[in-house]
Amino acid sequence: MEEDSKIISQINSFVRTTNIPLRLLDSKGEVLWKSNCFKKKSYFCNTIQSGHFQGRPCLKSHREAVQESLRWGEPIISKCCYFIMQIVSPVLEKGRLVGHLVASPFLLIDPSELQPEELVPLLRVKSDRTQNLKKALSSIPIVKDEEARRAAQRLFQLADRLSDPDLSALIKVQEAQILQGKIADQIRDLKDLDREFTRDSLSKLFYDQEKEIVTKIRLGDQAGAKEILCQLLAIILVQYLENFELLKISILELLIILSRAAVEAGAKIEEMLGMRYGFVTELASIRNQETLCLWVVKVFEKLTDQIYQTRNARNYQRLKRALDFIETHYGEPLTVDRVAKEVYLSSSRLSHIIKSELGVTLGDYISKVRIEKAEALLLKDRELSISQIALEVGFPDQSYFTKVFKKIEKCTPKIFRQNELRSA
Amino acid sequence: MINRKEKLNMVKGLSGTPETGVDMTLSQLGQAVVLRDCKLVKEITENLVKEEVNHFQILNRGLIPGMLEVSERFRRGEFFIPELLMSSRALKFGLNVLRPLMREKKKDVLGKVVVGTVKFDLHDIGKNLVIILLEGDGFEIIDLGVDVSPEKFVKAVEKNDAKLLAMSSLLTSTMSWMKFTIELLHATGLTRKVKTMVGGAPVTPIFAKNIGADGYCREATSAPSLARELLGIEGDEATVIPK
Repeated sequence: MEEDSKIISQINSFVRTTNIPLRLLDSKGEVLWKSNCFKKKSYFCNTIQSGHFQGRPCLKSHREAVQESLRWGEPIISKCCYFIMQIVSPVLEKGRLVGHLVASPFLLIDPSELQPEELVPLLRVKSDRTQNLKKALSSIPIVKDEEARRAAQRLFQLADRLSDPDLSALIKVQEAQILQGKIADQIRDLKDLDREFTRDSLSKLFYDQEKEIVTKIRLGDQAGAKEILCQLLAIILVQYLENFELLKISILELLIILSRAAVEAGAKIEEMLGMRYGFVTELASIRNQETLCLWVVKVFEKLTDQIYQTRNARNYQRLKRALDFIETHYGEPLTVDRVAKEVYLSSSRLSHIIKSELGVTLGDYISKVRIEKAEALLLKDRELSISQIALEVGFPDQSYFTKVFKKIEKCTPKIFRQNELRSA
Repeated sequence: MINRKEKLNMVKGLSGTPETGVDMTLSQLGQAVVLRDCKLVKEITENLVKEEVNHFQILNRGLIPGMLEVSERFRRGEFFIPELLMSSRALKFGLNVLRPLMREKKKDVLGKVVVGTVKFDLHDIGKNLVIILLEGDGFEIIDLGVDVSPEKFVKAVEKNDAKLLAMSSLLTSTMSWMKFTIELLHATGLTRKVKTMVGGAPVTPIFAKNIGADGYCREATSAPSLARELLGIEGDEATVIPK
């Protein structure tokens, strides 16, 4: 009972702050609770319903809005009749629809701004009613764009409280929809980038983005990495949308790359191996593309959380600064002293942090970044000579560059370029 | 209160606003749609009609680009549903001015087109713009709305003896329904009678080709020329998938 009074007070607070009348309906459309204004016979909605208007258009528009809300996982702002607006949110019980909240009526514009032709259908009622209707119209609150949006959020929160246990089932739908929207946007951008969509250009783009995401993961830029993850998903989907099995295989490939990057960035290798095993079994049970994409993002978050958990929080800030510095200054002569000075640490302290967080020495790390950048250049611009590239990425000469390159890639830069270009 | 002109100057975004003449008026018309000022939209449209600007030009270079800008802002998260609804309202005021002119021309209808957004997909901005443009070009439209099943598409094509079926999808998760619809058209032997065109943000030319669509519509504004091309009606250049 106490719970009920709490909810009533929340309902009242919604009406007070937004000015919009509220109704709570069950799944059959019966009103369980309504604002006082609906009790007046002269109220706009009552006038409309008792007038020469057929059927119960309000109920139909509520029901449509609820369906739409379930589809998108968010509160719906729509027209309920003519130019009158409503906000609708479902109420769930154990994930099942048991009712809905309707915040209406309200107007997005002042009734005086309504154009004559918009009022025509409304005024088709008998002339003695026209005056009443106009008067009733003036009692409807006007809620501007931004306020309407905020009211929708509040209504959603209220519906969340009324639901048992909450609206988390709906929020999951919302997450999936937002992700789908992002991926669709990425595909649209891809179309602007490349009209042809040849397999070659797509795989090259994929390769570039893959490098980019590995860098972002290493730098601890989770948000930036997530952005690129959407691009990678878009590239995969463009190619394999019609073949779900191939789609799954490419997703698995992507996850292996990401987990490898996570290990390099400091995640514990045992944890990663356990997670990789999990990927395969979980992946097998996924049946549709929407769930698949959402799952990839969740796995990605788990992976990156792993890294940042492992990294000591305070050291991590300094480490991030150092890594950012290397990322932007790799073309210059870099020594431990120079980087240490940049992040206000002693050389020995910095070396220690790098070694303990990344498991490699600073020198090795810098070499690795340089070689990665060199690889990108080798493939991007065929005109660039090996010695030019060596200088570009911060090696003093070609022979030293080749030596380091061979150590990491097990082949010379020249052969690497030939192999990669041939296979592409 | 700010005056109209200042209000117009406030809105930037429609690229390359020309300085003078009909071009400027057309671009102002688009801006008025973005501003959700239905009075202004009505006024400018009426002026353009008075100046005997072709109604298709008014659509294609004024109202529609304005609405596309709105949907772009919606996509970027700058506009939300309320803004979208108010812009659609403004657009409607312009269309109401143009509709009588379009009817006049309709005597020689180019053909019937069934249009809809595929199953489980509720996006309709792009679809509605395509409808406006096709109608403006002289096609007769059968609008099936959103969340349309393959069976419903096929039934509508059959019943109306449509020459063209246009499908829209805005989600990678719903795109397959285009494929299913075309498969059903094949199964019922209707593909000989009706051409298909597809479009939407995630739809690519490759996808269109793979599912056997006759045409891929890159953006709403190219829908009329593509439709003409597919039906062999003389018109402007269009994008047709090479077979």
